[in-house]
Amino acid sequence: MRKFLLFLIAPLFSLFLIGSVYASGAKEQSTGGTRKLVLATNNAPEGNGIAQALRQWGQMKGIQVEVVAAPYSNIYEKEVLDLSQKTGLYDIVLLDDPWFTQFAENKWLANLTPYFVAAGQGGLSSDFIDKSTAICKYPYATGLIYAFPAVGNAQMFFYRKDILAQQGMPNGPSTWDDVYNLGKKVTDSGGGTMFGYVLRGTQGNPVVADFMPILWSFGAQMFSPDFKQVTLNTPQALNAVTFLTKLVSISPPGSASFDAQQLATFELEGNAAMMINWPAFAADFQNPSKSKVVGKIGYAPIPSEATVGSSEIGHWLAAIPAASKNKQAAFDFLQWATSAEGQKTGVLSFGNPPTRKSVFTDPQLLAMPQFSYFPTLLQAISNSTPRPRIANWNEVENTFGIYLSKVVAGTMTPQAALAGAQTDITALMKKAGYVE
Amino acid sequence: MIWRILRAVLLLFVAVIVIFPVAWLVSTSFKTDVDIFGIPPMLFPQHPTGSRYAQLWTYGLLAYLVNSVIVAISTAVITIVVGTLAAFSLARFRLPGKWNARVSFWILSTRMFPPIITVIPLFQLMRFLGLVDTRLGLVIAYAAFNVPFVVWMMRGFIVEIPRDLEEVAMVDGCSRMRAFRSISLPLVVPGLAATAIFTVIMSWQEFLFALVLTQTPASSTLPILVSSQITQYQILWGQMGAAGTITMVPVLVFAFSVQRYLVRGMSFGAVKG
Amino acid sequence: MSDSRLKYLLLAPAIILLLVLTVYPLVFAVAASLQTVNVRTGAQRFVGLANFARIASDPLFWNAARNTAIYTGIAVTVELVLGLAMALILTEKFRSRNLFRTIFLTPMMLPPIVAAIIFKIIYMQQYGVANWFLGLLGIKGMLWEAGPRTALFSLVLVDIWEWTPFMFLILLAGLQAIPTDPYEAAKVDGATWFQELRHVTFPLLTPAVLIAVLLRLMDTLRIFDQVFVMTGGGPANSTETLSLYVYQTGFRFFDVGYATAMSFILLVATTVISNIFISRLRAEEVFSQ
Repeated sequence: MRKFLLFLIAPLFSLFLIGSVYASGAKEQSTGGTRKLVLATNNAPEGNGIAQALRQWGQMKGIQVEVVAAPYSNIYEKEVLDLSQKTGLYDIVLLDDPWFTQFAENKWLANLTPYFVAAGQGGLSSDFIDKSTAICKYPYATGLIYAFPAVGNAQMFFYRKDILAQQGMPNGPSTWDDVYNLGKKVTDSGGGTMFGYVLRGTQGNPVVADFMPILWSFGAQMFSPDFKQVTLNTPQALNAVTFLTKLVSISPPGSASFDAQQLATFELEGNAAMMINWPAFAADFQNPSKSKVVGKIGYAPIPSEATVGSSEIGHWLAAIPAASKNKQAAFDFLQWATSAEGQKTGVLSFGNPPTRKSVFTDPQLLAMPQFSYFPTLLQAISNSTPRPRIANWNEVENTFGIYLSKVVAGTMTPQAALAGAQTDITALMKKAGYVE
Repeated sequence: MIWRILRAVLLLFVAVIVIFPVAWLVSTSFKTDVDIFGIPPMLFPQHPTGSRYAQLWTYGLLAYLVNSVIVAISTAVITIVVGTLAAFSLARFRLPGKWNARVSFWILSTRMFPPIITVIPLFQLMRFLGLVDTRLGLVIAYAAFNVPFVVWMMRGFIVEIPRDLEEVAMVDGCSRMRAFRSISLPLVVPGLAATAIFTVIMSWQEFLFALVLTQTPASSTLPILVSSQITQYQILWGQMGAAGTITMVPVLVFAFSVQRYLVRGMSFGAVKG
Repeated sequence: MSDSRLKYLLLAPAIILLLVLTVYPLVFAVAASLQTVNVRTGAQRFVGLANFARIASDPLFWNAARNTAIYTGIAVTVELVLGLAMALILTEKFRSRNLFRTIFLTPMMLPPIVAAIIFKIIYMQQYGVANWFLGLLGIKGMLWEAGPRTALFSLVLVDIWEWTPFMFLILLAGLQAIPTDPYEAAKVDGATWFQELRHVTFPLLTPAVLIAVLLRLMDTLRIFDQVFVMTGGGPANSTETLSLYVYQTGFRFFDVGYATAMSFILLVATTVISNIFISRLRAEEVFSQ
């Protein structure tokens, strides 16, 4: 019995020792000699584009590369953990633009202006769309450059060309009232399987992202321009939220927990006429193995109402952590990756929208049916509005999202929701030091 | 007689409830999108495909699998050794004053920690030691949180073995440790096995620490692979089914091959009636 | 080597491991809970017990506490009842008993997040098999984990499915450990099956029940994995448990001080509740030497 145990434990122990040595040894060899670039990115097409570019760059320059990919729900936490603890684990971080203000204000990102100057350029190329460049600067649009605009996401309005053409709007609805009236007709005659509109009601980012364009179209804003005041207690805001309930009435039941995927599924199956969504889904609509509505989906800018419609910009930015030890190498890579050729490769390989005007107007790309939305997207970005540039946007969005989600679920009236949001968000802004 | 029939029906019913979700997972892993979203949902896919597993393979499945295996085994070995020694000490010896009860309680209380409380400082510590994104770092973290459980369980088992057995051997000239090794240890093997099984299962399943302490497939474990199938815009149901199946199968096989120890082991010790 | 030296030496590795990996984080957590971090500049500021005071008036905290309490209460109770029933049935000797025992243990072998995704697939509204089945019975439109009123119970269902076997295992072991003498004595006294259960089985099973409930209690109060993967705390915060709220506060909102303060409260609550069971166990001499 003893011998048996010995024979069992000894090899296991050796295995462990070998395994642990293998595990801890492999990491430390990267210091000295060959440099290594580490990228933190999300594990979706946007992230995969930059990851592929980095691997190519690594091969070209003989540099080791490592890609840390995580789902969207985790990559923020991973990046914050590394950046705030200044561990210098990552050399390049791909970030969603709402996170940018917090990262920049906390001085976690390297100021890129000196690198541009050293390379003989004033700053980001003028080939980048203005709005895309603006969100890479802190303070917004006027300050120093802290990131490259990597993937040109902005919301678009998707609609069924055939259904809307029947109602006399082949180019999409021009106002939100149109959306409701049209949508109501579709839902009423839809027999419970066809709906005029699908919205994202999941609390947090989904419902807020879906709602912001509506808020803006009705002439309301969340904050005063200097962020010293929360402005949700206006009649315009109330109109916007009331309109939201109307949209809910023509949307499928259960929309209180819909996210982008459900919306796309409804549309792909041909069961929804209109929705707001991100360009990532555009390619699927043209794919016969996934879509029952190939060729029937049109793209339009966000409808207007009290003011011209403006879509929410949601670019993915590429930045260099201040604690990175390979900033110059990272900068050189990012310049190459976000050049016109680099972005075009990303478009062709992963369908990632670019941020350069020249790529949006590239004749070769425009000729391909899966990029037929490019002109609309270019227009959308040029007229887009960013989410409020505050460092605590996560918390504010979460709180706002809870109230909106309750409105969508029908458990709270618009008035009560706005009043609650106004109070709670003011408290949050005070805590962060924006409001006195 | 009626009872026998009732019992059979009941057991069959429970068996179905238990097995069905597992079968559904495996079935999903072999389905194409058309089948996953098909109505009515079928247990056996109409167009079975192995493409999900192929996709996971190119994603780097092997690395995750290897990591999970190494981490689970290493954790079990360390915790069993360290924990059993400590348990022996607590079972056989008295610490001065009230320390016995205090130490026992402290050891048990660490299991009550919400892992949340330790995640950030643990990350800092691992970074300081250069152990982020390494298997060793993960093993150390898991060991810290499994040792209390092992100590508690093994103590219960060791206490069952009368000290006299060891004392007799010591009268004959054995040292205390030798007596433990040759006499008591063989007797607690079922308990040891049960505890080892639990430890392996616990580190195989662990999610939060893996989430924070691992970054790349150099050290990420299978639960991370599973959660990675939830991307920003959609859930890759098929791949998730495949990742889930792969995470599930080794543990099931392992558990079934040693499951008789579980019941026997638990009867011995901590659950003395 | 002398006994006294030996006993400390044997304890040493475990104590060192635990000290480094639990005491340091604890100290860090204490320090952090007394400070706030400015989300805009990362600057830390000592605020004494302000974080703890904030807990009292935070509706989201009490919502999370309530959700956790409901989750724990229902899950542990149902698991105990079902586990006990199954253990009692599967103690008797009959032919395929071991097979059923093995089958019945399956769910708890799964990683919790695998169980979570299994049910996410089953709960799918339009295409999931659960709703298809309900449709056969004429029930339509069940939202499961997507509906504000049904989400929490949908999650509890997953917990029950996965962890009843755990209860079953411990209770089964407890049943096995009961000697036969009391039963024989009861038979001699002419006790019915039910009387046997009440006067012999239940009292002698108490330690096992206490341990099983204690372990499940400690685990469900900290529940994280399944909720994170299945609902992320929604819809409408109906499934936001304490662990999730703490995670969100610390990692998404970067309010580390408040997050650690809340985890302390959770730790204290767990300790107090567990102590009730531990002292009972001590009374039953499970911890006897």
